[in-house]
Amino acid sequence: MSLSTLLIVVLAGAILAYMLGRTQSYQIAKPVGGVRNLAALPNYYASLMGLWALLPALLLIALWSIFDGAIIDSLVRATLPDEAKQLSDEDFGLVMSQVNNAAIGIGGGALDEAYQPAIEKLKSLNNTSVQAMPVLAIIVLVIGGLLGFRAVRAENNARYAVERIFNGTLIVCSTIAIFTTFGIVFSVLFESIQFFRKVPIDEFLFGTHWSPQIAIRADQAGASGSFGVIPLIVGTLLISFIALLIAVPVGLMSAVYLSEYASNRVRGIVKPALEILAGVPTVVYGFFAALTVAPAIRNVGDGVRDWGAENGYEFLASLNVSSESALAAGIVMGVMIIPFVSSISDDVINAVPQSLRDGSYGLGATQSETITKVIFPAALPGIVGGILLAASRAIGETMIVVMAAGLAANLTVNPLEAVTTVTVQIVTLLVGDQEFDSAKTLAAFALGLFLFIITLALNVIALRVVKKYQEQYD
Amino acid sequence: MSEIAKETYQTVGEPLLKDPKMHVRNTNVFYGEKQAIFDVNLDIGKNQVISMIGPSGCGKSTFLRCLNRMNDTIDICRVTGQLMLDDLDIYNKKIDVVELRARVGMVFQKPNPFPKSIYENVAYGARIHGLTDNKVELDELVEKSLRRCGLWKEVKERLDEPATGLSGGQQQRLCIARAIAVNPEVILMDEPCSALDPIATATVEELIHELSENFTICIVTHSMQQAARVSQRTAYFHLGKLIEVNDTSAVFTNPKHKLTEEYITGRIG
Repeated sequence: MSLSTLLIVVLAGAILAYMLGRTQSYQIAKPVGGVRNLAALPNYYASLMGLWALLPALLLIALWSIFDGAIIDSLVRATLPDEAKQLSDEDFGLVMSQVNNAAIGIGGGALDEAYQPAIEKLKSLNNTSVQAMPVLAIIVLVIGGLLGFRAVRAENNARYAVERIFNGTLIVCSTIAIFTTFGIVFSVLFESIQFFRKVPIDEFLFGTHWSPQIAIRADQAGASGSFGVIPLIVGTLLISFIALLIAVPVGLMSAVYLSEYASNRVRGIVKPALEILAGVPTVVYGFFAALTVAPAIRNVGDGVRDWGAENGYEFLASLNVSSESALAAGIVMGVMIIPFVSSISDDVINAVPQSLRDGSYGLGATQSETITKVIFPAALPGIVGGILLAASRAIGETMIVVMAAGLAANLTVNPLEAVTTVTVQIVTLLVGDQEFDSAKTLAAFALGLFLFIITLALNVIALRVVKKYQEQYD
Repeated sequence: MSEIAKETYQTVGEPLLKDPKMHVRNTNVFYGEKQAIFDVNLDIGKNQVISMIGPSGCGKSTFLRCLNRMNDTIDICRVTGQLMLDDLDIYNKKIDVVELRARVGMVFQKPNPFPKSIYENVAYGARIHGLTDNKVELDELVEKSLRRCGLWKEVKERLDEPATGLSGGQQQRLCIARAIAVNPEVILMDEPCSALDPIATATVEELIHELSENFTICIVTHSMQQAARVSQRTAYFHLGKLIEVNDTSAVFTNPKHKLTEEYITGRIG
């Protein structure tokens, strides 16, 4: 029986148990004088019985699926010939996978006779496992169902039991996210520690030169392998700064217009349109940036240079606009994060109580005075939160920068030059062939950790700001 | 009360005065299709306190908000008739609403201090209307306004702290100080004590009494005792109609209309 069939069977069994529990609870209700004299409603008894049947069986299936590979492996390992047991870890893994392949009938004959018992053992164990699991699962289902059936008693309050199970389910779901985060942090952390064994941490943090290619031959040119993160940080900050320079004023003002001035009809059209902007895939923004905005900026720049050369403005004549520029990436990224700023700002501006507006109008303030002097200060924490969220988004953005800003790690604050960002370098380090013992590959993890710390710090600052300036309107 | 709805109603008592501060003639207010105020005629005397009483939903707050066009902020609200502040036609399209609201200030039901410092709350109106030329004058104005509301002693040490940290009664007095800092001629108060405890209420009532020497005050209240304590005249509203207006003592001791009598004796409302 395949896993999916088994799951359907178990589910059907649980539903059956649910219905049985329901019937039984009505049965026990009769002698005690009706449902009102039961400690819980029939639905609760039924749910309890269904859950008793379902959860242990599911748990068994889950544990079995997780552990049967490891258990079978260790059993097979015991039957391997002695020579195999003395192999190194890597070679041993190779042998094990050959045994596995032979057991399912791929590429047999690569192993000699000595391995035959192991192959046979593996075959039979696999066979047993496949046959035993459904049987055991169904037995557990039935036992669970019976235990649940015993709980259907007039004086037993099934509501609390169901409540506890519900509670437990919620706790499990919420911890999944936490543990995943921990898992990611630790995996990045350990690889980063590997990296910092090869490259000193101060060189990483304070180095001004980024060139992760490591020479394979001693005489290879231009492959010094230096890992200074500063050019990447400057590039990231430059592009994010340009993006925020666009997104914050535009987003904020559109939020003010939408929440304070726009009629319901206009609002009904503009707000969804803004939210569509948030739904455009970043890769689409990326080629918009690379194919439309960047060449346009370059053309304008060239035009200005030629004009400057003709009219004798020396500083313009030397203007040089790269075809991939931080400006292009920043502008398009700014457009991309407008909806973040405007949507959150709109919400917080709407949340400012009407009584504050009334108070201001009542003193003879105009609409714009009310907005700038009362509503803005009141909504500021939320607006700052929105902006910092948009900033984290900008810092973490990759696709637009890959396509529009280039890969050259220039240490510059000139927005007309090509720059690169932390995320783009992570991508380029991990694309293509790589070996996991080289500093080049491990650098990606160090960069990831670095980025994680930056965005974490931003979020913490955002929370602190919001908390500090939060106004209590009761 | 269907008989009232049909009646073309003539207000009982003395709605009209000689030389009033504000006068209101044949005023109707509509929310969309629904009419909220029916043909109200009322004069508001200079440097007097007039209180508006009546059961919930009788239109007394709506009427109050007509007097400084606060109803403009509600899209579907429409006002007809003639409302005058001295010689100024309040609903004339050409008048400056900002100037009108500077002359007719308002205090709301719930204290609504701005999320700023105590000082900035009081200085707000003066700043937007350019009432002072320098910091010294502004400081004086803030101090004077706070003193008149009896708040100066309580807050002078912490003018820079957020106004939201004050107690409810202090906040409401701050809102009154904020309103009088603009030096309006009329102050509208929409149930100014309904969110306050009895002690804070007493302080605010005393303040209203003192302010009536210099300001014309219209106060909407649910408390008949409060109306009796603070006002010289009382207007009774019922289902959007102005039923009876008279000197406060006359309304409470000798109501002329059956509905007024029923309300003040507690049989309706």
